[in-house]
Amino acid sequence: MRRLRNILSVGLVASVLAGCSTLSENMRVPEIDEYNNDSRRARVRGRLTGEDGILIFGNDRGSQRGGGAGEQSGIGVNAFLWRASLDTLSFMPLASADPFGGVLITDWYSPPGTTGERFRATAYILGRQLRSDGVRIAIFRQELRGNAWVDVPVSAGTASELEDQVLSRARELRSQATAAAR
Amino acid sequence: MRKILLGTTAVVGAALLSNVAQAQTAPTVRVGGYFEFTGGHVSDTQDRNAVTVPAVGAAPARTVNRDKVDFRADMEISVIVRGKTANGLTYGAEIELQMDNVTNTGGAGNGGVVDTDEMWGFVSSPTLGTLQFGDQDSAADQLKVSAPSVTNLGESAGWDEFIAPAADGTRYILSTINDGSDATKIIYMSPQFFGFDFGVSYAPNGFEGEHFSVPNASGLQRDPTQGTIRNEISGALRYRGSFGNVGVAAAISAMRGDAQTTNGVVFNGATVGLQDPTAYQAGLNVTFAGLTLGGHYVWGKYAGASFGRAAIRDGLSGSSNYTLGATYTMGAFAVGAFYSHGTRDNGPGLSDREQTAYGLGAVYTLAPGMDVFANYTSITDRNIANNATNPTALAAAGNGSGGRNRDIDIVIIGTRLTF
Repeated sequence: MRRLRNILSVGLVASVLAGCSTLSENMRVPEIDEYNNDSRRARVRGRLTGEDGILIFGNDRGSQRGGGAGEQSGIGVNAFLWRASLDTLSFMPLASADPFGGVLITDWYSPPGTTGERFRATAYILGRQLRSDGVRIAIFRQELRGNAWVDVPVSAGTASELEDQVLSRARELRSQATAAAR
Repeated sequence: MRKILLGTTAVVGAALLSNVAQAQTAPTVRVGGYFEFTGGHVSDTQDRNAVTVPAVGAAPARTVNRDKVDFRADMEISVIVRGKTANGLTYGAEIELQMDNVTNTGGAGNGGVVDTDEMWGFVSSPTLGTLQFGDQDSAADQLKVSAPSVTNLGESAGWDEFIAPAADGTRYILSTINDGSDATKIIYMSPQFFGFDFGVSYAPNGFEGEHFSVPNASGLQRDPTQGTIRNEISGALRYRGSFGNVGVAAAISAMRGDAQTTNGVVFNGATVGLQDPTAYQAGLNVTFAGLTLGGHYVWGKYAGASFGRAAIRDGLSGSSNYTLGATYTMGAFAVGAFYSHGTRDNGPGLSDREQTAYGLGAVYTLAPGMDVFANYTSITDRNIANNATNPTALAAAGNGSGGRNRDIDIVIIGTRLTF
């Protein structure tokens, strides 16, 4: 009887754990601001400066708002790089576009005639400045094997070729804007 | 563009495994801070005849009441460092420079000397949790859940900056575990699993800052006779989650320490020992559509406002206090209310000290980072003794200056700017 109870309880625990989906989905490390802070500063909502403190050193991508080319357009990152990334990746369906964080994520896309493989791209605009290292693109590729899509490597140069495309488009856009302003 | 992608498929054989590295973030240094102005109107029975006007010539000494109105200004400057390494570790430090009524050597000046409040660093791994080190609140404090409140309203909030200490040296006995001590320590905070996280902390003694010696005293921090607490250990378990539209936060916090090494204290002519201090806190907050209800209960072996921070005499039994609170936020406007009650054992033959407080307050966020606040707090204090940790008698009878009873009504109004 006791053994039966043990077996039942093990079964119960196992089913509870299974019902809770995976541990990794439910585990994360809290940010520092999730702990109590007894500073009087912590208890006021928002900041007069619009961000947490005045940046005196470094280049924080996380909280950049406006400034540079982005200021006029109301987006958080360089507007030329953002526009150029949209143009360059527009042949794929877009899944998500966050102009404040500067993240562009496409959905899976199969080039015409190649149904057995598909691609997905993620572009990160890294700041307000129009710089050659201001955009980073990651390409993901999958192949259909049997009934399942399987991750396969992408050749090393692909992402940087796409980045070059974005940069040249951004340069184009900028020279157009400068010409228009004259 | 399609050509590039198609070209990729052609060279699959030669493809390298694409390794997406974590984005390394160059460290940033930010300067933030706050400025606060508060005006207070104090009606305190212990202010009656509390001030002596000295005799001059033929005019004899006499006593007068304290004024009812005072203004105060406060500020703090924070330096905030953050960074992230290529392997995903985040790191940083925070240094807070505060105005805390510190005077120049010898007590000169206007109390406007800047000193440090908290100063600490941390390293956080995306899988292993966070290690904090420095002058920082204990794990029990950082993870505690307490009654909700709005800016400067609470059982020991804006009001207690305006009143005189009672006969036992305390202004309030209602607070939460640790009561804000920043003794130099190390703190480990776990990752969060299914809404649960925990933390532990250790401080070898109660001192903070750069010193190895005890400020303004001969002796080292390592001397077991120094301070009021040694080997402070704290821990807490917290849960945060939501059920439908209802948010829930709950925590249990605990801390303990060893009493400093002494031969005891004198009580009723005999020598008695000290008890190691302990403090525990259980708290719950429930939030629904702008309304937050909650409370906390604190208990343990502590005295006055030294929640787990000072040893009490043998023979004194435990203390406890609780607070219930509610806040409601409508856009830029927030209101709050609380009720709080606490007792302290004054020893054999003496009635327990009892403090009761309730308050109502409102806050309007004029601009992001700028609050305007106003609140009213009423405090009733009974049976104040002559000493917080070693009471031997009640203070003088009555509710006048230095008396055992006290009634306070305080209204404060002010603004706090943060940047």
